Amino acid sequence: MPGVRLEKVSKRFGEVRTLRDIDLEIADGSFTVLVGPSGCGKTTTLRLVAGLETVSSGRILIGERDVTALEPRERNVAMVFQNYALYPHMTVYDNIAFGLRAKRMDEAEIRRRILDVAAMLGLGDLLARRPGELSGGQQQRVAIGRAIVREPNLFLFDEPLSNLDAKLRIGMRTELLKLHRELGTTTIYVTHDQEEAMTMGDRIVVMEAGEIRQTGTPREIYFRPADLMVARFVGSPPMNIFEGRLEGGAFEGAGLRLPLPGIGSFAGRVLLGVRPEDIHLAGTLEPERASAPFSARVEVIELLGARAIVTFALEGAEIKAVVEERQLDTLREDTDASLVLDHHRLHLFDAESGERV
Amino acid sequence: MAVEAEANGMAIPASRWGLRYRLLLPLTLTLGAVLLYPLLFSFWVSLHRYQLTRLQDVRFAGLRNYLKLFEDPAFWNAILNTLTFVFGAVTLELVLGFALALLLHRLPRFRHLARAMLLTPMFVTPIAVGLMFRFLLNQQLGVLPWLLEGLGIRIDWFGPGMALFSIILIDVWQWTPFMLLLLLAGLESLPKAPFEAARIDGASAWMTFTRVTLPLMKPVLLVAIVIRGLDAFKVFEYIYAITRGGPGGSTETILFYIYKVGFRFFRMGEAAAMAYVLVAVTLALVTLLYLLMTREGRRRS
Amino acid sequence: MTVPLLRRRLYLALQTGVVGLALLTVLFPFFWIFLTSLKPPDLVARPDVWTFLPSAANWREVFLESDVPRYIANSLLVGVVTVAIALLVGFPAAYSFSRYGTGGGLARFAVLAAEMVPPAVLIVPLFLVMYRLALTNTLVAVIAAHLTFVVPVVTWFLIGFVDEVPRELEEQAMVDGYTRGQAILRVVLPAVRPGIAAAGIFGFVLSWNDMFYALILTGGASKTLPVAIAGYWTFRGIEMGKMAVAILLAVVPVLVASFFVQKHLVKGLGGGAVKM
Repeated sequence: MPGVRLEKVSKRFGEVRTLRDIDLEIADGSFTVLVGPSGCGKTTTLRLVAGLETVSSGRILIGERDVTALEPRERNVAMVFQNYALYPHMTVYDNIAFGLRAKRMDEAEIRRRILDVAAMLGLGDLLARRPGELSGGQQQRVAIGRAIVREPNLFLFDEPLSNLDAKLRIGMRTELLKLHRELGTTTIYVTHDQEEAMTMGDRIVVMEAGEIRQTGTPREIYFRPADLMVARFVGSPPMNIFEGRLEGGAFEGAGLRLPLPGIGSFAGRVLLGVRPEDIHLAGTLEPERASAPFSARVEVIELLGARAIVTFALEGAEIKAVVEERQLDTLREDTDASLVLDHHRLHLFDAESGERV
Repeated sequence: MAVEAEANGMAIPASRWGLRYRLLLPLTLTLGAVLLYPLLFSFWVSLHRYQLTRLQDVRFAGLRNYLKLFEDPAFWNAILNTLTFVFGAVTLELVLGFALALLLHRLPRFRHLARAMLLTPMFVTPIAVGLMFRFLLNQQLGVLPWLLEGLGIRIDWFGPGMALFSIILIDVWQWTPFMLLLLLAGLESLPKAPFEAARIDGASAWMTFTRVTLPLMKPVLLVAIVIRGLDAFKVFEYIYAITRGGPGGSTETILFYIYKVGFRFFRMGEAAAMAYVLVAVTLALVTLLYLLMTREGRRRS
Repeated sequence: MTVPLLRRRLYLALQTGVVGLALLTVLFPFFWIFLTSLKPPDLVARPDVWTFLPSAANWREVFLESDVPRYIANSLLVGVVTVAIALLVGFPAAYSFSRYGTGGGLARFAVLAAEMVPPAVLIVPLFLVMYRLALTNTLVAVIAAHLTFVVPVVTWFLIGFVDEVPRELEEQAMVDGYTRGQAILRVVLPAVRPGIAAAGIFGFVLSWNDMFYALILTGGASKTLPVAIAGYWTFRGIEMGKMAVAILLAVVPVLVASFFVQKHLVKGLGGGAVKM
């Protein structure tokens, strides 16, 4: 299975630059997720790899082959679209067979392959139906089956789960991952949903405004976001950000003064990022990780089950923390609570550039 | 290829640039031959003394054909008749069509069947409609005068003073369905929320109609009026079938007059000049239509 | 009974009454013409006769002893050829307008505007050209004339229908290993089949119904049905029965056709306006 390489790829639509000088290396057999807010260029990148758009400049390689100037059909990739793009006038069987027939494969072989794929995806009973008679989840499976059956070099997914309801979506995630493990085909998967990106990708590419902001494993993206945009985009509820200054090894801002051991000599205006789960009630965190305690007023408690999201007010700023359900007893709305931050999990960003310090 | 795309400032490669125009070529050639060429030729004819009976003697006439029109009382009569016809027919069709659309929209049962049947006249061959009503309304043979006679009413449907109105009524019979079609579709595509809000606010039926339905329907109404108006200018068949312009030129419309001048008297130059006056009117209405439609398009997007 | 309920019943009665009256107005002329076509020749001119022993005399005469069957064939031929050309020319163009946005909104509108060019301005040059080419009184002349309005209408319809086919469908086919051309033929074309049918039928109805062009450009054996019908009116009442038959022959096919296109008609008339 070949990987994919993009070299200095740019894309303009008329005056609009959608992608600027993208360099991206996608390893053999990896499951890479392109994620970012809408309009960030992730779908364009995918369509460039598919050959549905042509680059304005730069090169695209699949394996060792330069495919920049090739038509989609010459690239041996399979794609699953957001709206599934099933051919409405063909049965499920013919939909799946369509790509094989393009290769003039003999019908017996086509049949064998389709039955294999149908068994794998549980489509056996649906082969004679038309797309219009299928549920959203079934259509989704047909679209996936159509991609698998061709045994392509590369799978491309364009937000394939966004039209499914929440429950089905989570089930399909697992199935797609299982399929990927079984087939080992290099996969590029586009989504705007950071949670989906985190759960599915073995590598994540975060994009914004036509540029790649960070590439890494889900852990790297989550625990060491390269800049403020990535930090804010990934994680739910989103990271708390405090404006302030770094001086003499301590952070000052939002009415707080927090000594930060091991921060070095850096000084200047910064943004301090703390994920909601890294804010703890004083006394619940091992002392060597805990920052100096500070007090904040409890505003709203939203119970999710085992955990709750608690909103605190702090000198006009608002912070959200994730608190274990069994620790809630000590909290009451409109009273003050004493909080600490986890020293090991703080993120500092330059206030000007937004880059990680 | 990439270089050329760069130069164009667009990312569609050269081969695809070709395809989009290649696909357009057959249409361009066809319309060029049957539409554009005649349009230009017609204009050329309108500037000449061009009589089919004296083809060896075609002479440049400048604007004389146009100037002649302004002094031709029959031309002005035809214009006036046409405007009366268009105004009368479109107004009646609009009112009737809108009323029927509103009633049909809320019809609890048989809505689709009733709609399908009410739409039938707009598909019928206009000359057949003309002859049908000539027969139905005929003083001696017609069933309608006979029925009305039973009620003590005598109307000479195609007599002086009445003929144009009768022609309008025939047009109303045939084309109210078109209004109904567009307006019913318009009503069905309106959002539900404003109507529910109006009900909760306790608005009366009349208030709901004037304050909610009417403003929401305005774009559809305008487009329907312009399209129907444009089409009504082309009225010909009923007149050919029934009155041939009479009595006393009272139903002579512009298209019928052009037909008469061009193909009964063979004065092609004058006919072409009249046609160009009609083109000017059409162009104005078409521009209006374009503005209405693009404004609506922008509002939706 | 409560007042609101009474009012609702009154409204329903009014509604039913008005719709019923409209239906009667629409259907009665058809009914009367049908009745007339079955009357024995001596009763045709008698509006007071509603019941009689049906006679097939009018139908027999029109079918066996007149040229009407030939005129029907002429009309059919003109309609079919015109629509075929319009579809062949219009579909590729509609694809280009829809997928490449060729010419933008103005080009789309030009298609609509082309349909509205007054026949008056086209007939003079069309007649002169056909006259020069010695093609007057042939069906070629009528076909050329009908192309002037059928091609724009059909193209306009098709733009709207192609707009509705998701772009991803042909992209999928292209990723699946087909060229754009194959994708158009094997995916887009079948997906717009109902639209093509609607556009084709509507175009056919327009061609079938035209009398203005046909009146001027045909004559004798090349007459189309509407021109032939127009010639039926004589002041001898006896002809009315045959005229009724001819009217029905012109009307019934389009009424049948209309039931097939009604569902798509609004969408079709809306055509390419959505993305203008």
